[in-house]
Amino acid sequence: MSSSRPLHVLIVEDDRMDCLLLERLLARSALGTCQVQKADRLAAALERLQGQVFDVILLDLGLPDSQGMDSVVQLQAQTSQTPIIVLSGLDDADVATQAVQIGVQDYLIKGQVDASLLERAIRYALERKKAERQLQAAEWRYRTIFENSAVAIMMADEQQRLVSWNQFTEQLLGCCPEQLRGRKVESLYPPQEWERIREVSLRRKGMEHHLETRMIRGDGTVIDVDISLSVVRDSEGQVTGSIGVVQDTTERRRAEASLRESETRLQTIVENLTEGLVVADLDGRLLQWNRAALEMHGFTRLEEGRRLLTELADTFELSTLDGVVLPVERWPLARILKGEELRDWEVRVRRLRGDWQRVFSYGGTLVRAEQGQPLLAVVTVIDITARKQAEEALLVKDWAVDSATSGIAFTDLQGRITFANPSCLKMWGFTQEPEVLHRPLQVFLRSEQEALAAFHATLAAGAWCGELTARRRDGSEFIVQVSAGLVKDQQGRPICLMASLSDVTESRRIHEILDRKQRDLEAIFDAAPVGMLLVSAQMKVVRANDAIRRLSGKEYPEMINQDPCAVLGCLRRVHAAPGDAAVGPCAGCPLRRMMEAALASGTPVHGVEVQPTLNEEGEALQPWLSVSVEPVHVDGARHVVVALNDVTDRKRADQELKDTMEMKSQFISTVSHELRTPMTAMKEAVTIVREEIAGKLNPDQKRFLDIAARNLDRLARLIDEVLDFQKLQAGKVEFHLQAHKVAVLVEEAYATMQPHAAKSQVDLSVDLEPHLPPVVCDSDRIMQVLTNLLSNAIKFTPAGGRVRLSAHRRQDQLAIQVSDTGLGIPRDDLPKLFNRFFRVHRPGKEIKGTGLGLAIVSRIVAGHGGRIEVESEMDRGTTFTVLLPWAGPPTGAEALDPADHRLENLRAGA
Amino acid sequence: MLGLFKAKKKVAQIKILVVDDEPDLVSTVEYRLKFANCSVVTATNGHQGLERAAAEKPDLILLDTNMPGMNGHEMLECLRADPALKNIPVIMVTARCEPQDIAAASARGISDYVTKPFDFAQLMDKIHAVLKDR
Repeated sequence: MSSSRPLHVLIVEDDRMDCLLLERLLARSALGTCQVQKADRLAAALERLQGQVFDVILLDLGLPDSQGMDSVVQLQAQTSQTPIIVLSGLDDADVATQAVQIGVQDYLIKGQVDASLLERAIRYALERKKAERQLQAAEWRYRTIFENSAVAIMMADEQQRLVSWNQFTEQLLGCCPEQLRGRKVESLYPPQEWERIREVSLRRKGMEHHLETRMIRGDGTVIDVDISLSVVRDSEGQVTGSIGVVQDTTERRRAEASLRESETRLQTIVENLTEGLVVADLDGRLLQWNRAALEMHGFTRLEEGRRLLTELADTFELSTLDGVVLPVERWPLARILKGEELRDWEVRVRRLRGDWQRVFSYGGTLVRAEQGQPLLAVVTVIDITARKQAEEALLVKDWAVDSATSGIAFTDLQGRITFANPSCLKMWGFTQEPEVLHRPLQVFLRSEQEALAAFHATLAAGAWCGELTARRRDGSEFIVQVSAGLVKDQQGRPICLMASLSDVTESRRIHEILDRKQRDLEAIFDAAPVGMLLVSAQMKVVRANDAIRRLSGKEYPEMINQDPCAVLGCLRRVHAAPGDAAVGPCAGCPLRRMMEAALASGTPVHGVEVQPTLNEEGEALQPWLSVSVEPVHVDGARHVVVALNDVTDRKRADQELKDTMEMKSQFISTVSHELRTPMTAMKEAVTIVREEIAGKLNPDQKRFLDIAARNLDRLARLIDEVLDFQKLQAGKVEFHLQAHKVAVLVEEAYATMQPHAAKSQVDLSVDLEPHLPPVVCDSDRIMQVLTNLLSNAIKFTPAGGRVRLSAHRRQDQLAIQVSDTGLGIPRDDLPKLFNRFFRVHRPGKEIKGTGLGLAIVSRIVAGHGGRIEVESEMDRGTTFTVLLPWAGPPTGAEALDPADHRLENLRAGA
Repeated sequence: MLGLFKAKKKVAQIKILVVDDEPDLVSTVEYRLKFANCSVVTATNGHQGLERAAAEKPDLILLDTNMPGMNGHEMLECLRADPALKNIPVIMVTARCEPQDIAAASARGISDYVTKPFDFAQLMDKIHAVLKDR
């Protein structure tokens, strides 16, 4: 204690003498200057203390207004900082102890105090007080720290009971002091944590240890904590307690976890980026690749990519889109490392040993620190191979759209033109796209209403198809076929409208013409007087016309898709026995056979007359049908067109005619035969007399009988001719065909007619081509022909004339000619020459005969399959030429139905 | 004609049965045949013919086809059915020369036929021919 400052002493002593003594002692001490104040009562002392600060108080325990410790206490209450030295007359250890216990610095016995003692006591008291003060200050400081710490500090005794804790502990554990006092430390931890702590404690053997654990709060929640535990030992090394410093790490943990989570999330994001991300250091060492980047470059493991940039030069070849190969120094990372910032740099990357080529878009930059120094390089990669291909495809499409022959136009959602390809412009008569851009679409169509209707329909339904009248630039109009659609993006939102346009004016016109023609054809088909059916290969009626309707009595719905025979009402099939397949009854049907044959063979059948429909009893029903079947291809499949003509009437007429003919034939036949019988009798009778069997005759009798006989012969001949002709016409004559030498025939004819010719004074000659082959014929009948012709020739040739009989080859036939130099036949009569009963009229010349001769001749020749020709010139002569086939009549001619043959002849007007 | 018959060699009297419903014809034929030295019996229908044939046993029958009652064909059948008569040769005289009639007759066994009006000389030739075969 320095003497720089006087010492302020307060003596609290009621005894004046003692007080003086004390003063004197103080003055003698080496304490320096002392300023003394006196108080003889406690109250006075307290009063003094109120106004002043003293360094030390000397207190007599025996005061009039206070005794013993009480005084001390009161003084202490007034000033805790001032040391108090108690003076007492009693040598009482208990009192001394008591005093010290309550904070008195020293205890002095009055009779035993001297200056040095007092000095020492005061000094010590001051020192002690100072120390005490320092200690208190320190303690206060520690206490403050202790109390205000943001960590919980707990102290436990050797039984591990909490003895002391700071406020934060209460906060941390959410407990009030009562809950903590004397509480077992163990109860603050979850059981397994306590185990851990004990284990660690054991291991650490009482040394300080630090661990992360968990504690239980007052409300039962568990918190994460960091604790530092240390044991407190006494001087002997015995554990007297433990101190634990606890930090609530819950927040920290959460923050850590959150950070970790963020980091993981970030990692995941980076890893799962579709873009590739590569991080490299400033030396060009590629440190990090995300999965996308690895995949793009054809790596499977990260290790493959963690290399120096330069090392990758033998794995990849990079070139610009134009094809210029890039050296490593110009590679994306290299450029970034040089400080460039890359954005969307499109590069073609070829893997040298993987043989693939892709197009990547590289971007990237240097990552700098706060001060701007580069830390890392980050490179982004996007695989745009597909996009590039799509771009190319789009270019191609663009080109296609532009060169399309159809017009293609786009409009925005308000109906303004945003695009029109060249074809479209051309259709409307524009030359440049700008002329139409942004103009509303209805401008290009005649009817605004129609245009808007179509537009809105497209918007609503997504598509619209139809025809509109369009208006060109010059005002002319045309028909346009529109196919419009709504274009949407990937999310289904409409972007624009697209329309495909074609000028269909021409095709419309053609369609109309075709339609009209179609209708005309249908009308013709329907109106055809002949019934017409179009039948499919499946034997179903496809089409029928009006005539069929009348014929069958059915209406169209009953006919279409039905069996044609059923349409005609044939019940043949209906009444087939169950055992017969459907084939059975219809197999006999001529109509069906014709249809099937035509379908199968593709050859038509014409004009066959059938009565195909049968009734229930299997009898043929009217009508008779003249059927023609013509195969045809319709709709790419085989069909047949069946033309049916109801010829029932005609057939009936024919039948009647036939019957009439038959009757006539019969009649002629009968009559002729009847005529013969009397003729025979007459002839015989006349002959008997003429031949003088019944007696001699005079010349006159003979003459007249000759006349009779001659005329009877003539009559007989006439009857024969009629009968013969009738037989020939009826086709009831059988020719006895044999091969005959032509020469023989000719010569016999000559021999027969020669006398006759001589009598008429006509020169008959024969001209025979040598080496003629034999001809198949009926010799009698041919003789008949020749004699007839020769007879005529002789008859019609005046005396002195010539008749020539010749035979020669003509092409592939035998030609026998009878030519005369006679009267000739008028040209007009030539066609009718071979008609029955025709007789050439000659004024002044009566030619006798039935007129059947040539008719018979022509029939015989026809029956041989031959032909007869005649040439004639008036008054010059006539030549008849008989042409015969060498092999005789063809079998076909004889195979003709006799009825038809007769009818044929009839119809030919013979 | 006359000479023709006169020149014919003398034959034994041939008995000929003429069956025909035409009396005029029968008359003329009979006359002629008699002149040709044949004996003649006649019948005017099939039944009569059969009777006469059975009674007279002619050498030849001239049979007309067209007769009332039993016609020539029918008579022919009866003749052929009768053992006593079936061997008598028959020449049919027919106004119709339909092939089927002739064929039918031939089937029944005629020796020959002539058609009306026939040539008497031809008829005689046929008669001789048929009888020569006997």
